[in-house]
Amino acid sequence: MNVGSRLRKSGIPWLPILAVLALVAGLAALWLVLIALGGSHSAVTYQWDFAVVGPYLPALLQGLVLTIQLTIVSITLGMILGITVAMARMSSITAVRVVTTLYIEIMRGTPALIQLVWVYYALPVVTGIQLPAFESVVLAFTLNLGAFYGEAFRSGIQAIPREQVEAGDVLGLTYLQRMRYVIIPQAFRIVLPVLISIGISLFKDTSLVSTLGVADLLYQGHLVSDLTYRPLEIFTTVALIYFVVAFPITLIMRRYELYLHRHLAAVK
Amino acid sequence: MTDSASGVPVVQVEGLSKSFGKVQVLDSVDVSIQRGETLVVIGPSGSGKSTLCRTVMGLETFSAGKISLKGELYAECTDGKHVTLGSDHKRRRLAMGMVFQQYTLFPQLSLRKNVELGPSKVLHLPKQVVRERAETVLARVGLADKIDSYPAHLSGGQKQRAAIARELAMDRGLIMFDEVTSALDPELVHEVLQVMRELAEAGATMLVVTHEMGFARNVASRVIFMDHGSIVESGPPGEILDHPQHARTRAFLEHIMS
Ligand SMILES: Nc1ncnc2c1ncn2[C@@H]1O[C@H](COP(=O)(O)OP(=O)(O)OP(=O)(O)O)[C@@H](O)[C@H]1O
Ligand SMILES: [Mg+2]
Repeated sequence: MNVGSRLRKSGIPWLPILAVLALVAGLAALWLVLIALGGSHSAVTYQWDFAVVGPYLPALLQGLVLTIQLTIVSITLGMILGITVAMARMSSITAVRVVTTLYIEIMRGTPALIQLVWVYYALPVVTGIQLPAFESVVLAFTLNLGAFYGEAFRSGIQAIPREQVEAGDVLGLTYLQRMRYVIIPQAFRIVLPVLISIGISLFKDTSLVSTLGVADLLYQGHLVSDLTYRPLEIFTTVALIYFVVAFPITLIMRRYELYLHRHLAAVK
Repeated sequence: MTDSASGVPVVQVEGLSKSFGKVQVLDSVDVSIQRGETLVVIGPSGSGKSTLCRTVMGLETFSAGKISLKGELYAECTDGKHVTLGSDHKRRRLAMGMVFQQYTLFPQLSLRKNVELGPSKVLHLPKQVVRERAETVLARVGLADKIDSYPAHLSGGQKQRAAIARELAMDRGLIMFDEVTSALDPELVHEVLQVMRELAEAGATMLVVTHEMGFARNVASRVIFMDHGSIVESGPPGEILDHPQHARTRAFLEHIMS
């Protein structure tokens, strides 16, 4: 804790950098141990052979690139939709509120996999529009995230003191200007932790698209596993890759959150 | 009310009534404010002082009465339900502003950005003018050196002075102050009142709700005493504070002085 607080004062984000370095070193060590174990006929009957993963790493990383693209595009669109959903959810028009609530509850109450399948297979049947696979899953994730981000933003917006909004009103800002300059920046700060965890969950949930034949990290993992007959090593590696990406993001965002809290503490 | 007919009032309120559910909070209030006047409103807690400001500001609806700005109808309610807005409604934001008891600076913006927001996004002034205006008004409230600070790093008194600067930057006809010193530590009250006093002396038109009787006595051009949602009496500070006509005013003053 002491080291942490001293490091935190320096202004350079040492903590996440150190954590990432430690993590990478740890994983490398783990890797070597696993390879060594595989060679030394250890107690368990299964013989781990992580060396087999090596040649296929580029293929896995290629899948990771797609996973990351999918995550970033979906999160961006999902946040934009989420802001709209939050505003609609708080609309003074009852019909708008009811429809939005219905949408949110359907998205939150049904499995993401079924939503994916629905957009991918059922939407073309219903509308006659056949989207390419990537666009189709992006649409599904955007709709899903729109509901979750919408609720997150709404709780953030409702946590803003009423006088803040009124002060914007008194200043002469229009409804949209108040949203943009007063409400959203503050709501964003309040809900940042929730936004991060939704984003990280999505990053992992994108693995669902592998069942639709989209060549993401998990899909590549399946391919490589089929080629090598080494599912345990391959899927463990895949899991590690997910972790290595997700964990530093959590750390960096947590730091950013600290920064925000320190510099922009809410008016009391 | 009987105002000296020195011109069209900046704001004229006639027969304003409002209830929250069954509670009648404003009961046929008449007030008008002349240009350059400092009108101080006093009264016990719950007498409707804040509600009066908020209703005039358009933050609350009302159930009867009429509000005019510079002689033009701004809002009116005749049927007890619906407030009809005059053609002048949009100009309200250019006609008056308000400083709250609570701290309302936007915490994610520096003082400069807080002050620049209105002139830039509402008044659409050129960038250079906006910058200079922010510097001028912050200097005027004694915060020139804090221009790049964030609200979280200011004392309560500084926050309220900055909120006043944000209002001054809009350069509007009337500023309402709703107990802007009530949330402050006692030692910070003076610096805020001093800024308001300087404004009054410079000829600003102000409606000030306050419990600071010293300010009322020394700065007010006129004092209004409110109780139970209506104006009990109104007149020059010397008259109201020293020779109140009504028992309720006397009781309130005795209570607050003790
Ligand atoms: N939003 C509201 N809903 C219901 N009642 C309210 C609301 N706002 C104010 N009131 C009631 O209206 C009455 C007048 O309140 P108001 O805030 O205008 O009084 P005040 O004179 O400003 O008092 P104080 O000196 O405490 O600020 C009070 O009885 C209060 O409880
Ligand atoms: Mg009040």
